[in-house]
Amino acid sequence: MSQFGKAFWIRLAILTLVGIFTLPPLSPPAVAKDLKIGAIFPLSGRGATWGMAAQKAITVKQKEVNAKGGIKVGGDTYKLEILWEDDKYNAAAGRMAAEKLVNRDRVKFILGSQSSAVILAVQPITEPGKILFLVNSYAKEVLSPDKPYTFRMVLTSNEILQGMYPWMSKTYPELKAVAFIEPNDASGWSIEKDCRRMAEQNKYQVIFSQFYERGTSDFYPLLNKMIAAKPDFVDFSGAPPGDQALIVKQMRELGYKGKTFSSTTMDPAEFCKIAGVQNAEGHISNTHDLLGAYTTEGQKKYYDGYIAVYGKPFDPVTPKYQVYLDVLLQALEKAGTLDTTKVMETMEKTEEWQTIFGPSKFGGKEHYGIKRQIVTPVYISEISQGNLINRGTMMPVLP
Amino acid sequence: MTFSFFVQVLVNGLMLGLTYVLIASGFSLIYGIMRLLNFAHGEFYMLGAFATYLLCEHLGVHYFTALALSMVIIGILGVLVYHFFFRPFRDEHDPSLVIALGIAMLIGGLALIIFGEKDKSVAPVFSGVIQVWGATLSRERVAVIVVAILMMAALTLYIKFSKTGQAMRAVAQDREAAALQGIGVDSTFTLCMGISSALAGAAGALLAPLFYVNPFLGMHAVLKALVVVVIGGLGSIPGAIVGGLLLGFVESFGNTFLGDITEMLGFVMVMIVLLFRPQGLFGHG
Amino acid sequence: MGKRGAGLLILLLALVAVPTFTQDPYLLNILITTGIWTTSVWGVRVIMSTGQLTLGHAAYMAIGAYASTLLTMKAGLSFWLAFPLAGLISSVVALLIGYPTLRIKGVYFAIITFAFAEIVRLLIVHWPSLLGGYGGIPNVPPPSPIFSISFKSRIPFYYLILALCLVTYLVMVRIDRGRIGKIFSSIHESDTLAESVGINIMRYKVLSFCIGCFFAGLSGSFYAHYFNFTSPEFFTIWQSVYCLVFVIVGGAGSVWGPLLGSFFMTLVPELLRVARELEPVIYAVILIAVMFLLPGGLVTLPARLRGKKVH
Repeated sequence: MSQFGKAFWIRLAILTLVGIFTLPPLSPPAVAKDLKIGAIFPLSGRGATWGMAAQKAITVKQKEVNAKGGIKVGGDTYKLEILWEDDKYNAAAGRMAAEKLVNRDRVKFILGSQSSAVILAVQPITEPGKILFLVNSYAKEVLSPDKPYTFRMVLTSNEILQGMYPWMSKTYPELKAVAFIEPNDASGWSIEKDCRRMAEQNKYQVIFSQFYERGTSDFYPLLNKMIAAKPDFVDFSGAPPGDQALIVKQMRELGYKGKTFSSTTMDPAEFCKIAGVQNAEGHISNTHDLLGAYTTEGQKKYYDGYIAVYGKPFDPVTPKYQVYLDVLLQALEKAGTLDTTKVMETMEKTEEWQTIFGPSKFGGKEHYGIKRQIVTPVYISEISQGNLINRGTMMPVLP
Repeated sequence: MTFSFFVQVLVNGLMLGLTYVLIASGFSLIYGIMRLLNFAHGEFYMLGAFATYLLCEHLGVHYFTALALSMVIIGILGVLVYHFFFRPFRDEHDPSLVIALGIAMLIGGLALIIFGEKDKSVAPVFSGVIQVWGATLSRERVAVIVVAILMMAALTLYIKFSKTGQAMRAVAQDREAAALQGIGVDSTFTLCMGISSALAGAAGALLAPLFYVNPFLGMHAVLKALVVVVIGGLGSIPGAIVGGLLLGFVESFGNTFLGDITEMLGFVMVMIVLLFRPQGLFGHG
Repeated sequence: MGKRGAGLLILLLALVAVPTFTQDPYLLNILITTGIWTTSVWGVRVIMSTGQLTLGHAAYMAIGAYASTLLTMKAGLSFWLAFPLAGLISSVVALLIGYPTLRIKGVYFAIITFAFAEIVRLLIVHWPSLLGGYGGIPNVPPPSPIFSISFKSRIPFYYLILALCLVTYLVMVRIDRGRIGKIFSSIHESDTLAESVGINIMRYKVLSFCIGCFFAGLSGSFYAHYFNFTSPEFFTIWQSVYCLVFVIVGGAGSVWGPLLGSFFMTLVPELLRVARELEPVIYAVILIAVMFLLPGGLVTLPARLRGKKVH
């Protein structure tokens, strides 16, 4: 017999019933002239690193704009309110989050997400509802001519590799054979396809490609086989940062001396900690040292803004997420209206945007069938003695 | 394929296998003696890794001290979990399984909130590699292999020869008969839970500097442990050892020669074993 | 009709009337999702009624989802044909798997269901040409119009799931009160005893398993055509575990258990919007609390409130 009295349970039941019938339809009290923008990102669980990075970058921009009084769209000024939802990196939760934002909070603009599965599950809500959806994720299917309200705000492996592979070819002409290691999941598969295509386009020979079970931390069996194939360099772009560091550590232990390469961004301090400073030497990645060479005024300002809000240390994964809100706000101001169709057309027609990465634009009509992929510079850096050294930068060509 | 390549495959299998044995042996012990499929076992492994991380990286404790402390901490945690959550359902089969599942979810969820999802690392104690018949092994791994073998040996001897170990075997065989003979079933269970959890914690502590530490380790570990003990035989320590090594070799060879389809092999083996010899290689009916 | 029947009728009328009071798609979505889970979890309950624990129910939802997706998208069948076929296919697979495995008892059977679920998920993933791999299959069509009702908004989906739940409820009640239900529970109590009275326990265990997986298949199919998307990520171990958790929280002893459990567990994370990442912790706490304080699940609450002794 329960030690809680009858009264307790009756009270609990009443409370629950009251909750069922009153709480859900309640939306937060609306403040006049507030522009509500939805954001769906992985804020917990796997992928939270990127989700939290996005949250930080977007918040920095939001605070900057609100401190100035808001943005001017048409004749009105709006303060920005970002409604954050956690998709936990899974499609069902992402879909629920989108339901909430679109149907309850009535947002017309959504930022996010990281996972292709989430985006694909959310688009059946956003596209018919003409909700402007600014996304990340690597899958090609996310952008297509029948989904005009979706724009991708971050470079995918397709564009990044388009910059990095020719650079590798030019800088290290002696490297000919490449090996791929990717995890067995959606992004791993999609990235491997892109890597393979780019490698072959740049006359590299793909002599090894294998996927590993998610959750693996002992890569010796896989690496043993890979090393026997004798690749000149190894590309593990699809692996999450911790795995990448482990792969590097273990392949160095096994005696592999070739170059390591990834087209993703990472935090050099954490990478070196897990891999070991000596093992990480020479690793090439798409990480941008914000205060090093190739820095723009916009980036310096963003850095200062970040430190003002979050303090040190600076999170190097964040800069690319700033572009989401930045470009959206510019588009709103340019269009002069909150009507999503007009904003969408403005985004399509505008030839150049000023972002913290310098001039950027949208492209992709040929590759994706629709001009919705942002094109920002690709940065190439190398780890040397535990530090990040900028090695080059270029703009991908995306007709 | 050269000789050294082949030796490497074997050595990799041994390494993988021993990590599985470390994780699975406690799991098997609990089932054998308590008839409980302790899904929370993997979470104890994960907590052992975190305990070591916190002790070494935040409190500056020397690694071997941290290893010992982690074992003790997690062992005590196991006892507490048993006392408050498992004991009330001791004699009910399905409810105890559900509670174990609930505890696993609880610990995993709390760890994620408290520690965050980023991978953490523990500084390794040994560095450098050695060569064994052409195969390479980092010194870290050699140390883990040695410690794992010592632990398994100690466990086996303990179960076989010590008085409490024999009490455990008696309870495993027939709970009621053992009780009639004056063996405290509850104290035996408590001891079993403590030792198994300490083992899981030790596994976590040992493997932490080798790989990385994050709250998701638990689920992966318990899945592997499940596969190992089913193959080896639920409740048998020699079974856990043989099962673990077998899985390690299968995965090493699988990943080398078959590619990523290896992911499925463990579960296929489980189904085959359960269909044709449910008690596993060494289990008893 | 009796007090009970009248109460049920009122509930049904209230549910049917919901869309006339609110067309809020958000609220409807919660109800529809709850309905999907309830259907599937009723299936778990049927399986548990013979004393078997299933840790792999999501796999049969996946089979239903992918079967109806392929039947509508590749074979050009109408949803109205694919939907029941999906349930049927799931139950056929259940038959094939159940027959050799159900003679295995207790925890071993639970492990088999679990291993099979993982194998199904990995098969789906490793057959990308047909099953879309990790990315899943997007653009799954909604049900084709029927009786001149088209499925463009939420409301037709709501009525469809309501109808499905009603049918499932009636089937479950019929099973419970009928001869089959009595046999199921006698097997649960003691299968040696049941066998000694001449009951072919294997046959009935397989039957309960097939029935349970039939409804899993139906719910999976509905899921795919409602979300317009199916992916192996929808059908992981956690979904299977949640199915089990919902039944236990609701109470496996009554047909109302799965309904209460699904409703309660879907609602709680919605009410506690602020603590999003706490969801698995909240589920775990509820599960443990129910096991300790309310064994028998939420269905036993009214009886306890009345002071009755419940075991």
